[in-house]
Amino acid sequence: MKLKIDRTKIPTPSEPRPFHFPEFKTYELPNKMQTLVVHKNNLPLVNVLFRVNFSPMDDEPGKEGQANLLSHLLLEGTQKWNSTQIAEKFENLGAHYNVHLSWSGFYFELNILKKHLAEGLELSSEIIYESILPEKEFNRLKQEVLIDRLQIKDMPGRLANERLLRHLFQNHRYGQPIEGLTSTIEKIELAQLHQLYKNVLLKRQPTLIFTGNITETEAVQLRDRYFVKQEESYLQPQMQIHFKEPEKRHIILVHKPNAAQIELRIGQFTPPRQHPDFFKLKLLNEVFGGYFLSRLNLNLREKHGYTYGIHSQLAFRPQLGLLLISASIQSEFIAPALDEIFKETEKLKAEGVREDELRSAAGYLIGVFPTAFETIDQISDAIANLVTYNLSADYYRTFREKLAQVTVEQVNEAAQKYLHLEQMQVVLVGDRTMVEKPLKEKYELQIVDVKGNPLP
Amino acid sequence: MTKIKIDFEEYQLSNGLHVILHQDRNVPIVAINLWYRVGSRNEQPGKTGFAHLFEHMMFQGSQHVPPEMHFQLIQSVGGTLNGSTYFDRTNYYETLPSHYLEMGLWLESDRMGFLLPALNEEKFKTQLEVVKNERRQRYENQPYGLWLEKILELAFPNDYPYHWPVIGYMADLEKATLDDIRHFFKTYYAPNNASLALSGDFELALAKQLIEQYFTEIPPYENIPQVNKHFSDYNHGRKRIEVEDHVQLPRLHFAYHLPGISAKEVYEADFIASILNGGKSSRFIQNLVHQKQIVQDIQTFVLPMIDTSLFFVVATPRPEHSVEKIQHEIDTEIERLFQEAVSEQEMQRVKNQIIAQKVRDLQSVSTRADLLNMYFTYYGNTNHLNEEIDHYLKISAQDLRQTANNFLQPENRVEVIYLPKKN
Repeated sequence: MKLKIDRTKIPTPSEPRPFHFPEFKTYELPNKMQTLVVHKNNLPLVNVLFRVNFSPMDDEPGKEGQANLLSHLLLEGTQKWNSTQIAEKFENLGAHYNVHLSWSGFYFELNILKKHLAEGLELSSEIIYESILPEKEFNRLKQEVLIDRLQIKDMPGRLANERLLRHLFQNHRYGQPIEGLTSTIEKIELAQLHQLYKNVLLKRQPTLIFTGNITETEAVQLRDRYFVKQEESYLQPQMQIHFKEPEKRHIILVHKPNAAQIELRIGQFTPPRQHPDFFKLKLLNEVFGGYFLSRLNLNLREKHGYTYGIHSQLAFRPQLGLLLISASIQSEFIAPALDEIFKETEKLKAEGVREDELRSAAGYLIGVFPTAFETIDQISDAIANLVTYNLSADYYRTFREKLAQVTVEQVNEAAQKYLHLEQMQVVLVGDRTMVEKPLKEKYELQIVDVKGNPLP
Repeated sequence: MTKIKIDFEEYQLSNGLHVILHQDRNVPIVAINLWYRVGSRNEQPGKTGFAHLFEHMMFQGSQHVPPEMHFQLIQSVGGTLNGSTYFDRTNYYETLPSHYLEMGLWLESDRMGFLLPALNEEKFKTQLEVVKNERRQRYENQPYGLWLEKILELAFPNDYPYHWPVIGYMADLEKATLDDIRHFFKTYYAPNNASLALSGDFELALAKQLIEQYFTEIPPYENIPQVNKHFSDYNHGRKRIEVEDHVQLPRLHFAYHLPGISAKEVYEADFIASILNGGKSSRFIQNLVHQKQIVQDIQTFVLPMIDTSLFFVVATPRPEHSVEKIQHEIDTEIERLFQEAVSEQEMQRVKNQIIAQKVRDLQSVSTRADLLNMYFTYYGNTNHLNEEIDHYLKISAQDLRQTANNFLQPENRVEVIYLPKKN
């Protein structure tokens, strides 16, 4: 076939058009409730996010899971409406609504058509301030969480995550799942949740974020009508704890009989989100395992075919960061796969990154930025992160510049400083009969059952 | 009523490639989206999983795009990309900063017209292992992971093309060769078996010129084979299997036969799924999860396919509650649909949920491109994107009752029951 165009040349880009992170305004009331408004006017939809510094860290020791149960119980009955009526009211408006509890805070989120906004907020306000925490619903939710804990034994990914966090954080609250463990959930009583609701959740200053088809004036009016009921603030005690990995690398194999693959997790600590080296670490992680073109993925997936995909990510808790690697690996190749992961880590420390690799990773993170803020839910989450991690108001406006300024030397320094090859902790979930022998030839292995009890 | 209209233009190139253009210059990104009318439905027994395996090979470079450069060129400028394979189609898509539109069209046209010279045994073997690991990760190593596979086997005859899973069987994948891949390409990957949608920030005239430039010279195929098997065994008797697996709790999977995707009954069934299970105020959640507290979770949804579709109810009993009891409760709820009309309030609730959801779906330019292509491919009417909501809003309680009676009877369903393996 005779070609009409020269396909051997990569087409050159045209002139780029600028993108700016949506403008947002911040308002603070005399009593300090922060309100942020992002006006994005292309569809008749509004997202309202109500955030409080309330987290599983507020659980009483031994009764872990209280904050989680309380969060979900808020949707189950107010002075005016029972659980069914609340659901009917929101759903009749076509609204999406949910509560979400994470290590960084408590969130109530409402996504609703503009014309139903006032009605949706009236109900939201009742849920937040006037929940009665009905006993019947408490018993049901508690039972649901306990059954979920039972089902975890079937889920290799969740088992692996939980085992790794337990190993890294030991007895700290971060070492247990947000919803707690069977033994701690069983000890939770309704009276404790009433206390937690009245004395803690409702005493903390919230942040309110409006995103979408709403003007600043409208947002402020709605806030004043439905949300200015806060009492004095009661701050979460911030204890400075120094987290440190175990002195040497542990490899824990969770024996899950008949597993079809090995679920792999590797973790180590990194500096917290607010640390000045964040952008260097972000790029280091990107080159290492952050995107499809990362070294780990090109090696383990595209070169060897050991896995459908391997990723590394930076995860954050309020006081620290984590570098987490995750993959599902073909059981026969778990030993060589681990070798390759460690080799890539070593190589990254010893030789550093190449200029072209860094440009590619930076190009990805910079270029993908507008795509990451297409929906109002995405924008709202991004704004909430500013509050959670106390980032500057111009954080998103300068995000791409800051990434572009990072040099090869800076990333290599970060690799030296923050990659702890010898202390990376490894958890594998799979069938020991398939993998024990090849692993033991190279590595010291601790084997436990799905509940964490040591096996011989 | 809140209604959004998506404006678009569409036309056909001389080689049969259908083009759909939807401009939205709010954000400087552009979504490029290609649908090929080939999926696992076009496979043969003994050669399952090929459509999906083939999809993986489309990311391995083409004649003018060196290996790894497809990903490299897109990701290094901040583009996102992927593809997916379904029973009836395979799609490929990327969202790029809009000034890279031409590069995206060059990449897509190169793999549409010039894939074969770039294929080699080594890349093929690696992707075969990747796909086998995908099967293990997503299905074999998940609790109840093979439930859909077992439903399809039970619901459709051995030689009927929805009988096997899109990912394919391990034994068939083991037998796949590079020649199979070449053959697949030479049979199905042609402009006259595809449609291209652009959505987002571009100039119309320029986009048209570039599409013309990059795609027109790719020749069409003659005689692309069509699938001529049609399902008609509705209400032909209940089938059931029990599967013992390493799970803590049993799970019931029911699938009822429904007509093909464009039938009005599929919309009605989707509506019924929302009445039963769309949100916390729905019937199943209120009755079985909240009031009786006998199931841990329950989902109801439609799997739409071109020739014939399925309506699913999947429920996990709480410990101490038998499979028989849950089955009885599900049957009772469904029988209620035969006997009494759905209340006006429930009708309105579902309609409001659908209206709001349609608005949410349209926020992203890549979703818009994918939907435009979907309506063109499945309905032969791209503007169905704008019209679909009226189909939902016109549905009456009487329609629902009729469709429930016709398609949700026990003799129209297959059942896959997972039970915990003893010891």
